[in-house]
Amino acid sequence: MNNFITKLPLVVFVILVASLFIFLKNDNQELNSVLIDKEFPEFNLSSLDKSKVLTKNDLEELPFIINIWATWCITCRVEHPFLMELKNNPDITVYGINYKDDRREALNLLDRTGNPFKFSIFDPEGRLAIDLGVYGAPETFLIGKDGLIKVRHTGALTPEVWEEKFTEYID
Amino acid sequence: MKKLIFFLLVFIFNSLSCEEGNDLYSFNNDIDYERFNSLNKELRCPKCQSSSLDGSNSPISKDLKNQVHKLILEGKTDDEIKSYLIARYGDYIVYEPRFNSTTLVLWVGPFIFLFIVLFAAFYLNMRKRKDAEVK
Repeated sequence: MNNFITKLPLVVFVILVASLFIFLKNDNQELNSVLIDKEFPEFNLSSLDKSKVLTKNDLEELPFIINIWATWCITCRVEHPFLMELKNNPDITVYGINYKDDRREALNLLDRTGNPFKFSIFDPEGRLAIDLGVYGAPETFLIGKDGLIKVRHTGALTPEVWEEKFTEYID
Repeated sequence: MKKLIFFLLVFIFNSLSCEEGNDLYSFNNDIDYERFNSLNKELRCPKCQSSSLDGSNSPISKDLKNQVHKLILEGKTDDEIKSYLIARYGDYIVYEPRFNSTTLVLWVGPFIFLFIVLFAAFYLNMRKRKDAEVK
């Protein structure tokens, strides 16, 4: 007992240093989404091609990923080829949210480089984005077979990220 | 004297330009305006990590300020507005963390440390005295 008490400060100190080290390694840049295992938020926005008004009911093919993109977003162009690849994956549907963008420029870009999305929701004021806790582009959410949000990824969606975070929710 | 007037002018214009930002938002009364300003200081910009909404000009901060403005006009209380943002962006969005299971260590930790230190100090002191008595 005696021994323990005199060594207590040392023990506490070591624990403190160890935990600080662990938290230092923790990458804080990526905020954990509070929306994991929650329902996708309701919305009422026009489609990017203006053809119809979209609501949550239009996101009907589960499981799906929804990608927040914009023409001003450079990283979005990095992940674009991989999204085109996913378009051909029969196990997943790819939807888009065109985030704070110009409608014509966005449609132009899709014409030029190819459209990976079944459709894009046009969100010029970032209203749906706020409901999703989005703070930049690109971001990608995966909604599982039960209709709940399973994954939130900020930054470019690469094959490595896909393997690591997304595939476990897909058949 | 000229210098003094110059500095005064600089000072006045400076303070004017600081105010400018929030004057873009109109409110029904001064209390709401004050609430808007203080909320923006308590809320954190999700993109820039160590800046408040008030101190940030990033697009997301502007959007969130617009949202706070809208919610104030809708008659929401400060607590309701904070809860609204926490539900979307997490505890991170408020500077002062709320008391819950994940922030428990943060709030209670220092007191536990204090207790341990006091206990150790007290015990060591006691033993010293005992040793002294024995001698």
